[in-house]
Amino acid sequence: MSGVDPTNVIERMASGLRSAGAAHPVAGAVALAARGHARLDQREFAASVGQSVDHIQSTEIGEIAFGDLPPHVGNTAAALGVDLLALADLENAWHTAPDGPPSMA
Amino acid sequence: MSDSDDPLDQMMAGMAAGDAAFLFAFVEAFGPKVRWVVRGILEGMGRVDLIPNRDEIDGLTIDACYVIFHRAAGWRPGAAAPWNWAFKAIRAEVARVIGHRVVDLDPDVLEREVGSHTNVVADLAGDDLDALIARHPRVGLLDQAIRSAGSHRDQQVYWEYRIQQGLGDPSPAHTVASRFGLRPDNVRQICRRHGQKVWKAVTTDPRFTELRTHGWFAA
Repeated sequence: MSGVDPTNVIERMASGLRSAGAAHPVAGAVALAARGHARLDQREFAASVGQSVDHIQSTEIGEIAFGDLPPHVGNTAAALGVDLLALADLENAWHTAPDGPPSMA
Repeated sequence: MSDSDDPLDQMMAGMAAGDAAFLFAFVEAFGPKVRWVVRGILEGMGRVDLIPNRDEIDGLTIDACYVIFHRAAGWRPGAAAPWNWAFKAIRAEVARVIGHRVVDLDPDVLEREVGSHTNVVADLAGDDLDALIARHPRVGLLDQAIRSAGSHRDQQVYWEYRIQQGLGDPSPAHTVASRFGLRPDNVRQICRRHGQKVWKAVTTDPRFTELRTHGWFAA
C-alpha cells in the first residue's frame, strides 16, 4: 500500500494555519512536519536540534518566513520527498493574493 | 506524551494534546491503513470511480486522519485501532465531502460497478442498528448479549459478520475483514470465540433466557 504524499499533508496543515491567521502558514506547516517526522514533542525536538522551545514554537505557528527556517527543517523536508518548490510557490501565492484559493489545486 | 513505547499510543497521545506534528507522524505511519478504510467506504458507497484518483484518495485519507485527530482524546490504548474506532465518523466525513453522486448514468459504468460489488451485500451502519433496536426490543436484548462479553472491537466484528451472513453475503469474513483492517481468517476466529462467549452468556444469564431459541443460536 502506498502512503499519502507528504506535500498534500503539509498543504492541508498550512491551510489550517492560514485560517488561524499565521503570517507564514506553509513554512509553519513544514516545520511541524519536520518535528512530526522525528516523532518528538517540542521540548525533545528543541534539544535534539539545539534550539530553544520558543524558537521551535515560533516556526510552527508560522511566524518565521520560509527562507528563514532552520536548515534542519529543509533537510528533513527534502528527505521526506516534499515538493518544496511547490510549497514555496503556494506561500508566495498566498502572500501576493491573500484572498485567492487556499490550495495548490 | 504517552509513557507507552508503542508508536501508535505516542501519536494518539500527541494528537490528543492537540499537537499537529503528531498528525503528520500519524499520516506518515498509518496513512496506508486509513487509506484502506477510506477505499472500503468508497466501495461501499458505490464510488469506485474515485478510487483511481490518487489526489482524491489522498485528500479523503487526510480528512479521515483529521477526524481521528479531533477525536484522539477519546481513544484509549488497547482499544480498537483508531481507524476502526472512528469508522462511523470517518464514513460520515467521507459522505459529507463527496456528497451524493449526481453524474449522468452511463450503462457501461453501471454494469462495471455493479459487477464489482457482487460480494458486498449490505453496509449496515450503527445508526441503522440503533433504529432496529428501538423498533424491536428482542434485537436490543441480542445486542446486550453480544456486548456482554469480549472487547468492543470483537463485539463490532461479530455483529457485522452475523449481519452480513444473515443477509446472504457469500463471503462475510472478507467483507468484514476489509472493513476492520483484519484478515478473513482473523474474522472467523474472532467470531467463533466471541460467539462461544455470547452463547455462554445466553445460557447462563437469566436476562437472556428468551434468546435461547433465537435462530442465531440454533446449531
